[in-house]
Amino acid sequence: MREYLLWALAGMCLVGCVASAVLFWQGWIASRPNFELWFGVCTLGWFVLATHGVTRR
Amino acid sequence: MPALADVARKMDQFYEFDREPVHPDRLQPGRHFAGLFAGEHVAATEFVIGAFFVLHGVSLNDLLVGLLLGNLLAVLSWTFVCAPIAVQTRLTLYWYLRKIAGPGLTSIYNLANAVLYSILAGAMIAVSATAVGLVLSIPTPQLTDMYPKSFSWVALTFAIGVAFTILAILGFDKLSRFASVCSPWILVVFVSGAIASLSPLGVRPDLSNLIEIARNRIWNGVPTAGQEKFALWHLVFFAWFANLAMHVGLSDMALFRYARHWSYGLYSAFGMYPGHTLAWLCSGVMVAAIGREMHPGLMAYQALGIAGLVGVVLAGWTTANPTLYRVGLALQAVTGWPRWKVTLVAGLATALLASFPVFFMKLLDYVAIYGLVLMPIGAIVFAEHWIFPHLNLPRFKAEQQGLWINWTVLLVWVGTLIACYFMPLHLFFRWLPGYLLAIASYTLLSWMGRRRQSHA
Repeated sequence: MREYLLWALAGMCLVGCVASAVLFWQGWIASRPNFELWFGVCTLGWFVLATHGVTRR
Repeated sequence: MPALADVARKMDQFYEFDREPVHPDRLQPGRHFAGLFAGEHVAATEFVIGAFFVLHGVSLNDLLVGLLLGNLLAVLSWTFVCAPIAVQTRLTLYWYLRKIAGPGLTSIYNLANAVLYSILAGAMIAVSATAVGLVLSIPTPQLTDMYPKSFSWVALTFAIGVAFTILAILGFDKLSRFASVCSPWILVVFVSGAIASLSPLGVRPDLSNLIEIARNRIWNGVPTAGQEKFALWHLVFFAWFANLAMHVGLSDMALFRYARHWSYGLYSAFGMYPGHTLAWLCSGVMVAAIGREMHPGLMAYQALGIAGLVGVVLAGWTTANPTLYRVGLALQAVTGWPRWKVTLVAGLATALLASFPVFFMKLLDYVAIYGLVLMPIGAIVFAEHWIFPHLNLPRFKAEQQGLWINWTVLLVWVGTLIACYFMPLHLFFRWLPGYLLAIASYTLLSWMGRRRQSHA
């Protein structure tokens, strides 16, 4: 159960990466540095969670 | 010949673990193949290939139809050519070819594969170098450059090559686990990079001018100066042969021998459509946003900032790492050195190759040549597996007669390549007549050989 939750959160981070790009294109994230920050945070989230998930297998 | 016999014996030892056909309890479910293909076909090459389509003046319609059709043909090649032979034999190409061509020729094939692979790894190192070079203000070679023109570029590619090599030596297993984490994110880098590049290209938030921008500013049908114009059939054939060595060339028998049914070849679509269609489209958008400059690092940086640069470096590394491993494995048989030493030497040689822009700037041609060189072996195995039983021709001549080298196989391999070299066709189109020629000539020569034996 915990593993499913882990991968669900990791997947949401990937969705967050794409969503930040969409929001930037649509103008809802106004500046490029803000977009890069959101993308970077979601990326970091993916790598931390997914690496943890892979090493638990 | 004794030296070749020694190489063949050592290669047999390295591949010993998969000598026996796969046992039924080790067969894998379909999702296993979907995951493998999805992870393997989103690589650093995708940054270059999709961008080159833009530089070669592809039009939007040709691109969409070409990629859909070409990738479908690739999926069908895995499904109807590679997977059925793998499922019936449950062997790798290495062991199946050994029965047909003999251990000596199989070793030559493996070494040729290693050399071709190391050049591909070199191109991946160069792609990563464009990202690091951007940070260090080292200029990337121009489209027409064949040789390195600055010491700083040579030093950069060499340093990255050495870093990749050290990582490969340190621990393949742990690193390959980390690489599996990178693959989904790299696809996200492509998609997000393309979306973030839509604003600079002038695509409105309501998408009302998307098609117009795609037709006029991205795939506008006008090649960049010095680049050849590509049309529909160039794209169809490129998408088809991009993995020629794997499907028609049968090296993915190593994967599909674990499949429960030959129809599992259809799972290759999980690699072709997200990787070889979506990622190529996305890199086309990104290169158009930076003014059609072949610079993967700049493309990703302009789109996504620092994360884009990391994406390019990781894409290069995740492709180069298993490649260095395979090269090391093949060369270990020749030298007999320990794995770390042979990987180090292979890595250093690959790092030197990486400094030559020709392999990176002519990547499309190189991919075509790579597939073409190995294709005749796939044709020979196809003929032996499917055609010989119908003609009552004896199979597995090398195994039956204890030959080191089946000279008919070598003759057909070399002869097909010579014929392909002289074909009055574009490089992209030569493999298909070459493939048919190899099947026909191998069958004919084997039939003539049997007649000669029965008359004697």
